[in-house]
Amino acid sequence: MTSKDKADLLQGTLDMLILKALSLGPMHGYGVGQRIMQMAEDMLRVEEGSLYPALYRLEERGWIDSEWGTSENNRRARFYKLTRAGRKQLQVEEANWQRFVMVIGKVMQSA
Amino acid sequence: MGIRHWFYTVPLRLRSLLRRNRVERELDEEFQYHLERQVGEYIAQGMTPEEARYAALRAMGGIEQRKEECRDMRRVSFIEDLLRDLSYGLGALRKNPGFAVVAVLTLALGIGANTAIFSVINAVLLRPLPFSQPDRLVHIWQTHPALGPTQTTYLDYSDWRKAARSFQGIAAYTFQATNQVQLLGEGEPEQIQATMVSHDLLSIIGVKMLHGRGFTADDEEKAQRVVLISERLWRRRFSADPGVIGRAVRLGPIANTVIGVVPDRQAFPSWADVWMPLSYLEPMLRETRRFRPLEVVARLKDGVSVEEAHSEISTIAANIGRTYPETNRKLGASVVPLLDKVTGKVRPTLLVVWMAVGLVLLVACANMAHLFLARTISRRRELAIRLSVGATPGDILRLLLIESALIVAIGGLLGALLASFLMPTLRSLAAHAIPRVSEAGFDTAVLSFTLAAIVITTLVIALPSYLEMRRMSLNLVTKQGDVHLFSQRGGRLGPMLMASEVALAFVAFAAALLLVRSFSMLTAVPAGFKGENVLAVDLSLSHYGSGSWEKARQTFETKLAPEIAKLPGVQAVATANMAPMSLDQAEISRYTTRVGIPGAQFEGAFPVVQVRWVSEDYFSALDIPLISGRSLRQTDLDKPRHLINETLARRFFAGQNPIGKQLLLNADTQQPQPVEIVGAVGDVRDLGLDIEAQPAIYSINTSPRFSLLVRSSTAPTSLAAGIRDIVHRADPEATIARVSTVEQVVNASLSRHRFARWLMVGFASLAAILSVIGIYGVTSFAVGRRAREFAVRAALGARPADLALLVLREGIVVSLAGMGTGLALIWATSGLIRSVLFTVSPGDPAALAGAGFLIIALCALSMSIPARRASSADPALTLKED
Repeated sequence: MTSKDKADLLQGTLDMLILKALSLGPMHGYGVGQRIMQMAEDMLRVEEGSLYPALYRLEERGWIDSEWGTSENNRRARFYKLTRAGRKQLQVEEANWQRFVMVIGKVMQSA
Repeated sequence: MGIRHWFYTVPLRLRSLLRRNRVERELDEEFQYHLERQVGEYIAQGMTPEEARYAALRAMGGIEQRKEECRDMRRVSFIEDLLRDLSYGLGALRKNPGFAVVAVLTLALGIGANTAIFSVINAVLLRPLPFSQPDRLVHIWQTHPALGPTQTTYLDYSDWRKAARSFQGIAAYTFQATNQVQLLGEGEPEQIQATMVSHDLLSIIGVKMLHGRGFTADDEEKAQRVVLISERLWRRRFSADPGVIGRAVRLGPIANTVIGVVPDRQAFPSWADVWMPLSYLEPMLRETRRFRPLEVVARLKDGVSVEEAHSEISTIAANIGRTYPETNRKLGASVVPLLDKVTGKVRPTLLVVWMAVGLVLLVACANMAHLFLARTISRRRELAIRLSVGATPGDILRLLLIESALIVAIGGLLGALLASFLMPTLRSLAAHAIPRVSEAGFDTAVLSFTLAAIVITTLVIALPSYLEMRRMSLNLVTKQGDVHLFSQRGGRLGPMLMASEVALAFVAFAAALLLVRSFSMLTAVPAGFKGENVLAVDLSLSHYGSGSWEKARQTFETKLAPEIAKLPGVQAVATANMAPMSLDQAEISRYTTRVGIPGAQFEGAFPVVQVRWVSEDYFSALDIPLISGRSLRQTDLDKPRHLINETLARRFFAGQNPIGKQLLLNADTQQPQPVEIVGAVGDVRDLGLDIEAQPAIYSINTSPRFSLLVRSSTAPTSLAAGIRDIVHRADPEATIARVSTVEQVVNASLSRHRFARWLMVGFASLAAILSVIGIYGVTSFAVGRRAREFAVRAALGARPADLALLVLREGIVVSLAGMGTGLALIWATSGLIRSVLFTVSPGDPAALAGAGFLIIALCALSMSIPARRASSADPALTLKED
């Protein structure tokens, strides 16, 4: 599988995907990236480099929280989890996204 | 987001700030973990470990940049920059400890001295009186065109009270020494300060009683035997027992019922231990317009200004003057804020001291500003590089501010510490000279002052460096090349700072010299008596009512004088109704009378003369010379024979022999009393060295309250215990208010002047030290910058002396400019300075010349080393690379 098969991430959707990934449970940074790719069934490429600034940004906004824990391979890792504010934000973003997809879909079908 | 947002982010930011290392470590660890997992996965996909690592790093896309992005997300970069600058600044200070120590000490001295003095200013001049709405409280003086503000007669006070409409209430109390009473009964008899007050005094002032109640109108009208006592008396004599209310205390011969306890915090007047109704006032003091026993305070009605009240009370006083011309023709009245009355005399002294200590801080600032400027100039390459790689002038200003703030903050903290050591010294030094000074200490106002001083000092210090740096950045932009060694630009700030230091130091010197001169004038004034080896004992005998004067005289003559004369070394024992310098300004009217001369006409009122009742040996005890006639003898008792002083003789018997002539005492009453002048004695300044001798008369008499004056050939304080014993054996209920040598009393009367002089000399010395350091710094830095110029001059044939002169000449020009500015400053503040000087004028040539000479000497001293360095310039330097 080459990287050309994978879609690039739409601008501004990474935050939403991280929130979605974390809504399944706490996870460390590497795991978040993996989880997003699994959920996208490997059709999406998450740039590792932009993942961490995004995590820090979400933490800064109070949507996620972090603490150190032990990973599945028994190593110390920073685990992120959704806060209540983050859960609400995820709902808002999901609703926005649904509407966006619908509208764009209509536009594209009308051609 | 709102509160919850802050709830999450504030701890985060604090964590990033306070635990920067840990945050960094965590960031590293997080990225490391990610890389390891990624590498693991790539290896699992079949890459070699090396390939995997490379691929993982590439996938991250520049790990440092990512980290920086993460840090940016926390938005702490500004504060981090600050911290970086701070650690840079600390590092720079550590590298240059000499600079740091000089700077910190200079500022500690400047800020410390200012904090200490401000604590006094704050406690004495600024802090409001501890009463409700204290700014509405005023004091009402009676005024005399020649004597200035005085106390008030009972009848005038009553008239004001009836007529005035500007006040919610007018109240009165008797001034300090009028009412010393003897507290008898349980424990040692004790002389305490009493005051007789109108029943509404404490309610007008707004005092909340600690226990019991205040006076009522009924208490005053019916002259009830009820008293209030002070909290401190209550604690000392009644072990703070609330049951004291209703108990009887013996004051002199009379039992009084305690009805209330006045809290010390609000005690008014503050010196009182016992308050009694004003109706206790002797009828003699109540029924005339001659004696002025009362201080009058009032509370302004809402909306009435001090000026309006003043003009109303002046009109009332003028009306009284028309109704009673014999006594009140020349009298007016004036209204001043109560706080001004309390602090009145010391205000100019404190302001001058404040000015002086402010000068010290300014000199310190100028020093520091130059030190920083010099550092900035010598760091110009570093700063230029910073500017050229993208630092903005704002970044560099921040760096400069941080560095100066660092120094000033350390100096300020040390200064506050210094001030806390200075404060007790100041309080004890000023205890007798300045009211309210005992309250001086750290409070919010003083701390805010210190903080403000730190902030302003920081800005002042960084400013010249910033200006210099801006100039450099302009040069960079306009490509005018770097700042060349020969450049005179930028050299202007140094001389300006030096000139201002010279100006400030000149003002400090001149003010100190003026005060020193004024003080020596004051102490050189011939007092007219010799107080060395004379002990003054103020005492009250327990003789009351009619015949008490006779009993007091007998006690003195038969029991005290003979016994005291037997003590070792005693040469003379005398009494007087007052020891020299022991009269408060307010009491003077009690010790005066008005005299006439048979056959003489006086313009307006009869002249006021001082009255001294003394015993036979008074003149020998104080060594007051007899000028003509004979002295008083015991046989003159009860006979109308008086002595006069030189001033009285000169003023009323000019060109005649006064001996044998007559004076009319109480000339303004219905029964003038003729007395014969038997002799004249030398003038005595017994009211204060700064008060000229007034016309005075002396007669033989002894009241139950008097000062014993004992001259001895040995140290007089060694007699104190013996005299106490003798007094208590003669009268077990006698109270001794004070035992000290006359010399000590005279010294105490100068305490305010001495306080000012010591502080001024101290601050001037401080200013001198700081300005020497400063001028040395400016000159040696300038010489260093011009090393190459001097080398060229030397190479061209200048002799060492020429080079030294070059430096000195420029220094002298700057110093002269500074002195000129200093003179202008003194001229601008001469009004204030004049008010604290005795017979010396602010333009006193000796003091100004002295200050000028000191400045020149200090400049020469500070410039001698740099000048010598300039004179030894090495021509070979011209060949060397910069």
